[in-house]
Amino acid sequence: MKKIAFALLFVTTAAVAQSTPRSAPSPAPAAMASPAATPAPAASPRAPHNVTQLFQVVILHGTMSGAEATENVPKNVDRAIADVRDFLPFKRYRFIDSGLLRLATGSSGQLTLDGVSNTQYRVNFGVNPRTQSHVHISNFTVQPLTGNVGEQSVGKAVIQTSFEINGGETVVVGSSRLGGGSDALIVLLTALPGR
Amino acid sequence: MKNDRLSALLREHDPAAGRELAGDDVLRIRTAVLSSTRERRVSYAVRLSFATLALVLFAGAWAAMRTREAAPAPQPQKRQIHYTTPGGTRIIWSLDPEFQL
Repeated sequence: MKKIAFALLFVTTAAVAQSTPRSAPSPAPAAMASPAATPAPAASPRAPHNVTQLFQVVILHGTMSGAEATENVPKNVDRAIADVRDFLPFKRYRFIDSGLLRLATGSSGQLTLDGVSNTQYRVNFGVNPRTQSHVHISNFTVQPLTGNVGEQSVGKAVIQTSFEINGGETVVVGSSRLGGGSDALIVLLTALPGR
Repeated sequence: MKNDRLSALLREHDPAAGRELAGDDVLRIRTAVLSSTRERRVSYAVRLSFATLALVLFAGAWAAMRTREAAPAPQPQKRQIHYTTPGGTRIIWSLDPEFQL
C-alpha cells in the first residue's frame, strides 16, 4: 500500500515534469500494421482539451512452467487476467511492479518500473483526445534499461504499439518469443475511471 | 551314357570333319567377330558417358543444396496480433523472434 502511494506520488510528479505537450501527435511506427497504429487524426471539436487521465501500469511475468497461479495481481485487473488466461498459454502470472501516471490529453509521459531478473523497464506513451469516454494511446513503448543507475540507456523496445482505450478499461499488451517462448512480458494499462 | 553316345554319333557323321575353312570364310568370321567387339566398345563408351553425366548432375545438385543450406535463412518478422476476448478484454500481443526477458 505504501509502495503504491509512493509510486503514485513519485510517478505523478515525474509525469508532470516529463510531460511534453505536442502540437501534433507523432505518427506510429511503420512496423505496426494495425488500424490502431495509424497516425492519430486531429481531435474533433467536441473532444475535451486540457483534461487529465490517470493510468495504472502493471507489469506481469507470464510463465508456462509450474502450477496455474496468479500472484499478487492488483484486484482491479483480476477480470482482465481471467479473460487472458483463456487465450494465452501461460500458467503462472506473477506480479512484478506497478505505477500510476497522470497525463493531460495531447501530452506524453513515462514510467520506470521493475522488470524480470533485476531488469528495469521504461514505459512511455502519449495520450491524444478522442471523445469524452475514450482516448488514443500513441506509441506505447516498453524498453529495457541497461547499465548502472545514473548511466542507464534504453534498449530495443520489446513492446511498441498504439491503441484506443475507454475510461475504466484495461488493455493487455504483451510480448513473447515467436514460435512459442516459455516466458512473456505482460503489461496491463488501465485508464482509471473518473480520475 | 546317352549323351556320350549322342556325341559319338554326331562326330561320326560330322560333314565338316577333316575339312578346313576356306580363306574367305575365315575372313568373314573374323570381320564379324571384330565388328561385334567394336559395337560392344561403343556401348561401353556410351554407358561411361551416361554414368559421368549422372555423376556430374548429382554433384551439381548436391552443391546447390549445400549452398542453399549455407545461405542465411530469411529472418522471421515481428508480428503483432490484436484481439478481444469474449469477456471484452482487448489484448495486443507482439510475437518477436528476438524477444528475451
